Amino acid sequence: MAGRVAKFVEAWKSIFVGHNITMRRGYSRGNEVTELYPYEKPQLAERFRGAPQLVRIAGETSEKEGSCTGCGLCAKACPVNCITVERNKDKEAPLKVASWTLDLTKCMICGLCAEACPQAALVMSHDYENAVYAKDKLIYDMERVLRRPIHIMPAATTVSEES
Amino acid sequence: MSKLEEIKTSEVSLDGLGVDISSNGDAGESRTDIRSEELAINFGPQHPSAHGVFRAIFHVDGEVVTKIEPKIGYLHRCFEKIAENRTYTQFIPYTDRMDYVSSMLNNWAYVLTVEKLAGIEVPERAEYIRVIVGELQRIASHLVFLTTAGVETGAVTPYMYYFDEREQILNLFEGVCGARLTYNYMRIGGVSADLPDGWLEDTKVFLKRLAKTMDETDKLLLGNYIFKKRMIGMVPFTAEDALKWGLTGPSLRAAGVPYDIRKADPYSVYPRIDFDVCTRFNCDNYDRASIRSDEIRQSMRIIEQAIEQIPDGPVKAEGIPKVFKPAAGEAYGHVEASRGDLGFYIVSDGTTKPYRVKIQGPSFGNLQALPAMAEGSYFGDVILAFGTLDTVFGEVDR
Amino acid sequence: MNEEFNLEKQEKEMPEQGKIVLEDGLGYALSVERKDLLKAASGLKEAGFDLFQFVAGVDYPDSIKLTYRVFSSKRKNQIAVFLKTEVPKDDPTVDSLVSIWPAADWHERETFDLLGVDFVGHPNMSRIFMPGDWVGYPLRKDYADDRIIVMDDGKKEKPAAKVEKAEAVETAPEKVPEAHQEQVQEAEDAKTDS
Repeated sequence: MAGRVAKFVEAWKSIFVGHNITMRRGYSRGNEVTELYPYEKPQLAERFRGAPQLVRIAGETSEKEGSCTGCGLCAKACPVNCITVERNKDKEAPLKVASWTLDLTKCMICGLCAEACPQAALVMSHDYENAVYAKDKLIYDMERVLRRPIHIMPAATTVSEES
Repeated sequence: MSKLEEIKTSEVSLDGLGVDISSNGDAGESRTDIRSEELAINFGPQHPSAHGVFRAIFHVDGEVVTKIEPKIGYLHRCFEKIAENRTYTQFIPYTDRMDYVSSMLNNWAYVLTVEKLAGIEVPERAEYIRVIVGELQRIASHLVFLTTAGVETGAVTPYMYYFDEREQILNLFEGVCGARLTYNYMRIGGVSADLPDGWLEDTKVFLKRLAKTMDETDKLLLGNYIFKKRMIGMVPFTAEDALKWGLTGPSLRAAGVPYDIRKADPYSVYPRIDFDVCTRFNCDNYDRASIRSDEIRQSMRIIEQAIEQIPDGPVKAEGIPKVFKPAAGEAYGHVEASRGDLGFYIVSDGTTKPYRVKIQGPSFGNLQALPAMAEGSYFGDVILAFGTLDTVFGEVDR
Repeated sequence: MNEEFNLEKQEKEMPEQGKIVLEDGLGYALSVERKDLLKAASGLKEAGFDLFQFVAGVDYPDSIKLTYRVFSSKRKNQIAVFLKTEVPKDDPTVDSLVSIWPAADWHERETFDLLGVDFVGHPNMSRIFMPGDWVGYPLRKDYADDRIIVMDDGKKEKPAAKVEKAEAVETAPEKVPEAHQEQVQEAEDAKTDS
C-alpha cells in the first residue's frame, strides 16, 4: 500500500513539475523561435556558404568576365567535378576566362573552390533559394554566375591569413 | 466472422498442419486451443522510428521478439572507394556525410589521421578551436538523441526545447564555417578559418542558456514518471556482452566500462582539460538515455575550460603544400565521436590520393549488438533499445 | 588481469604468437602468417583484448593485407593491438574470428562484400552492403564501374608497383567542356579499359 501511495505521489509530482516548466516557458516573453520564413528572410551569417559565384567589382572589372583569370584551380580543387573552366586561347590577350560553368546539380557547396582561388575571384554567395522547375537550369554559365546578386563573403583563406 | 478469424481458419484448412480448432469448443477447458505461431514482421526500410533507412525482420512470438535480422546497406555510397579517387583534402567534405548528425567530429577524425600520417604539427589555437567545436557538436548530437528518445516514448514537448538549443549551436557553426549541417570546417593542419569576432562570447552566453534548459528538461523528460517507467530496466545489457558485441561510446559506458578515447588514447589538448568519464551500470534503456545528459554537462565543462585556455596564434600549420603528398605508410587515428569510437585507417602510397581509407564507424559496431541485446524483449522496448543505441545510418552504411 | 600490459610481459603471456612491435603511425602491431591467425587471436583474447573494433583489407597487386584492431578494456593502460595478416589473391581465404570475438561478424562480412576475402568458419558469409547478386568486389583496385569518377590529377606520380591503379588513372580523359559530357566519356573509357 505504501508503495502504491509513493507511486501515486511520484506520478502526480512529475505531472506538476512538467506543467510548471511548460507553462513558464509558454507564457514568458523572449522565447519565440519561429521564423515566418518566406515572408521574413533569415539573418545569414557573414560566412554563410551558398552556391559559388564569381565576383564582379564595379568599375574595375568588365561585366563579362569578373576578375577570374581562368587558371582552373577551382575546377581542380572540386571534389565532384562540377566546375568547368576554359581559358582564352588567344595568346596575345590578357589572361582571362573564356567560359566558366557550374553544375549546381552536383555541387555540394563545400567551399573548397573558393578557398583554392588565388585571385579571390570566386566566393561562396549567400543564395540558398536555388530551386528550379527544370534540371538544366541548374547548370550555370558565366553570364548567369556573374548576373547573380552579389553578397561578397570573405574567402576562408583570406580570413585565416589575416589572423 | 471477423476478418481475422476468417484468415485464421482459412490458414488452418489450407496447410492442414495447424492445431485442429474445430473440436475445441468445450466450455471449462483451458484455452490451449489458441493457435500461436511465430510471425515475421518486416520493419522498414522507411519507418518513422528507424532513424534512417534501416530494414529489419523481427520474428515475434506474440509481443516478444525472438529474433532480429537487420538488413543494412540502403544508404551505402562506398566512401572508402570514393576516397581512393579523391585527394586528401577533397575527401574532407565526404566525411561530413557519414554521420550527418555530428559532421564536425567526422572531419576531425579524418584530418587527425592524415596529420598523423604526414607528421603535421597542428597549431595550439587550432587544437582548442577543434575541441570547442567538437564538443559543441557532441552536445548537438546528444540533443538530437534525447529528442528522439523523448518522441519515441511519447514526450513531444522536450523536443521543442532541445531543438531550440540545437538551433543555437547550428547558428554558432554557421557563424564559424558558413554551413549548418555539412561543415567541412577542419583542414589538414588546422581549421579553415579563425573564429569570428565575439564568437567565444556568444558561446559563453549559449552555455549559460543551455545549462538552464538542461536543468529544466532533465526534470521534464528524464525525471518524468512515465519516461522512467518506460525505460528503467528495459533491455539491459551486461558489460561483458557489450564488449563481446563491440559496443563503443556512450552505450558501452552505460554498461560500466569507462572507455573514452579522450582519456584512453588522448588526442589534441584533452590531457590539459579536466573532465570526467560518465558511466552507468545496467546499460538499460534509461541508462543509455540519461548518460547522454551527463555527457552534455561534461562537454559544457570542457568548452568552458577550453574558452579560458585558448591562446592566440595561427589556426593552420605552416608549410603544407598545395599538392599534398604524405610519404608512403599507414596510420590509424580515432576520436571519441558522439556515438563512439570513430576511427580512420589510412594507407598512403606516396601519391596525392590515399591508397586505402578504412572507416570504422561506431554506429556499425553498435547496431550489430542489437540482436544480441534485444532478443527476448517486448517489441515496444526493442524499438526504444534501437533508438537508444543512437545509430545514424549514414555511418552504418557509409 | 587488471594490470598493465607491456611488451616485456607480453612474451611470457603469449609465447607462441609472435612478438608485438611498435609501428609508426599505428602503435602496437602483431604480424602473423595466415595459418597462425586463429592462434594469435585466441592468444590476444586470453591476454585481455576483448573489444574487437574493425578489420580492414587493403588490396595490393599480389595479396590482400588484413588489419584487425582489438582493444583491451581490462588492462589499466587501455591499449589496442593491430593484428596483421596477408592472404594471396588467388586464394583469398582466412580463418574467421567470429568464434573468438562475436563482434567480428559484420566486419568480416563487410570485408567479404567489398574485397572478396572469404572468412572460413563464419556463420553467415554473405554480402552486407551490396545487393546479394552484385558482381565483383568494389574495393579491389581492378574493379571497374561506369559510375566511378576518376579525378584527373596525380597521374604522373604513381609508383610502378601499383600498376593496376595507375592504368585506371591514366585512362582518365582530358577535360571536355561540359561537365556531364566528361562523365560519360570517363564511363566509356573505363568500360573499354576493363
